[in-house]
Parts: sequence; structure tokens; C-alpha cells
Amino acid sequence: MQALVVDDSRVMRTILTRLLTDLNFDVVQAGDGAEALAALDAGARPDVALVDWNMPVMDGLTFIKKCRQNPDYRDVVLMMVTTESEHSNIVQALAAGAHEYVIKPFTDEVIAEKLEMLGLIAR
Amino acid sequence: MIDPAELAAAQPDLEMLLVEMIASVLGEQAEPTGERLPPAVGLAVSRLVIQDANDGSFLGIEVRAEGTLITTLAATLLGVAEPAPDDMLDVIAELGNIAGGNVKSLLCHNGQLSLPSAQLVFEQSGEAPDAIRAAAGLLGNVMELVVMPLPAADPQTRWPSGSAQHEAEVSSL
Repeated sequence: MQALVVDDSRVMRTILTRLLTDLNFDVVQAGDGAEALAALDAGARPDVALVDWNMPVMDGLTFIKKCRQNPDYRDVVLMMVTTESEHSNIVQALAAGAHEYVIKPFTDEVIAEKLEMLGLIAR
Repeated sequence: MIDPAELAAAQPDLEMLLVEMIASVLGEQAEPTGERLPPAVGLAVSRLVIQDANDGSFLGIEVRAEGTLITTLAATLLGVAEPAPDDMLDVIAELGNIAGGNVKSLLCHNGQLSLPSAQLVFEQSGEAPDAIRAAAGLLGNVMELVVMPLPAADPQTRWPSGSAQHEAEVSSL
């Protein structure tokens, strides 16, 4: 299984990469939505992308919308991982095509549970 | 504009937020404390701004910690033996980002959070009289979360792509 971690924070990318690696994912990282799209355009086909919302260059919501507009990327499961916790944000992300929504700070268990619910891991 | 009384009443919630953030992100047990950061010591500081979409007012958020504490945390989080200043800045910036998002949920439901701006400094900046401060003790050190009304956002404030503030910046270029 491959995961794409999209976050402008190197610390958050490191935390998520460590967690996903422990769950047997190969992890690719991107610092913003544009970098993530470039990775997909270059041929990366992650099973899941964990996407921050507030980023420079291209925010996570725009990335999710662009990802959903391209049929080549329709199999990528999208999980928003963000500090944005308003109900309206959650609705917006899910309407744009996110499958799951995790609010920071999170525990490892929360991420693992979501991945299990999405059928990406079995525990 | 957030009512100063509402801001003051949120102090216990800010304290809890800080303790929970330390536990979730850093995996460290922390306790609320009345202690303050030492006055003359190297500090790592993360600053963010929330702009209220209803009235355009600004709220400033700072997360501050001693440089020695952030060095220890950076070594653990990033898996490096001797963290560089950039490592410390990344750690305090993300702590600020997480705190800022949660402060927004608590105090400003319809607002935009800026991107964090992190600095290593040797003097604490002055605090507005209506600033609200929460502090937690961990690993023998103090970490502070300070929330304060601001008359305006610093012109250097960076806003995330897709935000109205970012679009306004781009269109003014």
C-alpha cells in the first residue's frame, strides 16, 4: 500500500510518515497541493492521501477538488487532516470528495481507525 | 470583535487545549501551571492571526517555549540527534498551527487562520493588557499559549492559498 502525505509542516509530514510506515505503507510526501498534484501527474498512485487544509501555493480543498475532477485519480482515497474543525469545513471537504476528516491534534489510534474503516488496513 | 470578558472566560479552555495538544502531538504529559517563562532566555515563538469574517477584527495567537525544550522535542519528533534552528522553527510553527486552529474553533467560528510565523528570540515581546495566557509545565519547562486582540494583522502575515486574504494579496500585486 502507498500513502501520500500532503502538509506544509515538515513536523506533521514526519509524524504521519512514521505512523503510516508502522502500518506498512510506503509513503510519498508533498509540501502543498500543487506538489501533490505534480506527484500524481508524474505517475504516483497512492491508495490514500492524507491532506492538510491550510497550505501555501495550493490548499488542501483545492487539491481534493482537482483530484476528484481527474478520472485517473478517482481511486485515491482522500483524508483531510486539519486544524479546521467547523461543521461547515467538514461538510465542504466531504462535498468536494474527501472520504474522511480528521481534526488535529489527533492520536495514532484515530488515524489507524479511519484507515481501517476505509478498508485500507486490517488489525 | 471578541468580547474581552469572553476572552478572559476562555482561559481554562486554553489551558486544557495546551495540555491536550502537548499530549497528542508530543506524547508528553503536561500540567497547567501558574509559572511563567524566564524573562531572559532563548525562546522559540510561533505567531498566527485569526481574522473574524463577521467584522474583520483580528486575534493574535502565540505559542512560546524555551529553546532548550524545543530542541529536545525537535530531536524526538524529527529523529535528529542535534536539531538545527530550522528544525526548532518547524516544531514551534506546527504547535502554533494546531493551537491556532483550536483557538479559532473556541473563539471565532467564522474566521480565517493565517499560516504560522516562527522565530527564535532572546527577549519576550510585550503583551497587550487584555492578552489571555495559559501555561503548561512539561519536562521541567514551561510552554505558553497567549491569545490577544490585535488592532491589525502584521503586514508580514502569510495567509493560506484559497483564503480571501491571500486572494486580496495576489490581486494587489
